[in-house]
Amino acid sequence: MKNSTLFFRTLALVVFIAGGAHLFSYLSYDGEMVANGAAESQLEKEIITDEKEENMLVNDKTPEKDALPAKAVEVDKETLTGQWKVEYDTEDYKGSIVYRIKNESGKHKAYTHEYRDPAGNAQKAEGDLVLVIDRFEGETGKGTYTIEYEGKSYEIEAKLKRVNAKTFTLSYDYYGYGDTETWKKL
Amino acid sequence: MIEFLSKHLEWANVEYWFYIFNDLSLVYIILPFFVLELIRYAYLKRLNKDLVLDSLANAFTFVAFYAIEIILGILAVTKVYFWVHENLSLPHLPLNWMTIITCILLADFAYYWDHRTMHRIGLGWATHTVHHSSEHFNMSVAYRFGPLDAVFPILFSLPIVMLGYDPILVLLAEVFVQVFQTLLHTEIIGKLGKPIEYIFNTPSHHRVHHGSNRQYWDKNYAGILIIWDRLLGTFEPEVETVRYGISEPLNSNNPFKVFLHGIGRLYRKMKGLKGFKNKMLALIKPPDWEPS
Repeated sequence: MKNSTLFFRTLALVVFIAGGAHLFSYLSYDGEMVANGAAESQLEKEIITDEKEENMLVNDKTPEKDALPAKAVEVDKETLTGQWKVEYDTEDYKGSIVYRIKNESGKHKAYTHEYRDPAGNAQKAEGDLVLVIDRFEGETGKGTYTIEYEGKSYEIEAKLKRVNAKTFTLSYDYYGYGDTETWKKL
Repeated sequence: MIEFLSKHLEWANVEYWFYIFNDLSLVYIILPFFVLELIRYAYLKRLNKDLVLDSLANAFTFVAFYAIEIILGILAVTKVYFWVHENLSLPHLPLNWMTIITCILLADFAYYWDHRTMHRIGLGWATHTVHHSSEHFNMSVAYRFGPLDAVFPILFSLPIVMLGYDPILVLLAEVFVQVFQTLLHTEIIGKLGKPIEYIFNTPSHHRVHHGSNRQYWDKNYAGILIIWDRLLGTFEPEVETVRYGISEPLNSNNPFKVFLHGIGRLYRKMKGLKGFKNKMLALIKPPDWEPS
């Protein structure tokens, strides 16, 4: 067999297999977005229920007005900027961290802003960069999240999912070490 | 179907499945099968000192190969894989069944080219001849590795990482292909059904690959799928009874000699060639190449 035939057959096979995987990934990403808009996940339901209860207690308003389902929320990328609180209850850390998301040259980046212990005591954070949002279209997005483990920093891919205008979830899975965080806007 | 293929998978589960297929296969299939082969050898009155020493030499080469692989991994390979993944890769693929299946297909195809290269260039054959130098054919031969056998696959798996596949997944897929390949080293299983023989690499196809009969040289490089050989012109069916070994027999079961004889032969060949260019060409030209 001629070398050129070998080359083109090999190239065609690689393009077909890897291209198929990328095309599939792209299409399923779009599908995921549609699915997210059509149905609320269990987590979304829980968060919305929590918010409904919160709103009823604090504002004495009808829950339907404040806590709209995810699909009804008009997503604006600019709503990302500002302060977001995440609750943690792990062996390493109990309490919450407030992050500040800034829009830097069109890219949204989250920095640590404040640590809060369960008693409500706050301490200013060092302002470390923890999340770079690569894209957040519609209701899903992707970013690079920095986690610390045994003194080392790891930059890992994270999936973002809009729950409503004031809440999104961030999930990651780094070779079995994973979590889903709920980011709530302050 | 699309929903199943695109369903996000957890790393812990994926690693567990590969642990069952890759790591545990030694316990639940390879070792029991090897024992069965020994019983068969005994029944056929072929269980002799040479076979036992050959198997021990195979085990020794595996330990040496594994040590080299660990050292390489610790020194650089893992870091290079991750660096390439972060800096020279297409958009990263999500962890789902489609990614796993295509990664195994690509790892299998990379195995084909890695294997073919090791047969068709001098340096490759210097290490891979170790695997072919046994005149027996059983599961222990699958573990008969040469000193550079851990190096060549890196060149062929890095492009898969560049295509957006996770380095750990690529390594797991490579081991999966290798484990499948291991199971083909047996004389117990004859030919399987036609559809299987047409698509998959089988013990029959791999016996051909280990044949020193002239028509069997440089044939059937496949790992899992024999279709790569069919598509790229290197397929040969098993017709004539296979004679195992290499054209220039080793005639030794000394583990050190087994492990290093290919490198020694290449060194002596290069030493005998005139001119620097010819010496270098001996590394990349086919093993039977001689300057004109």
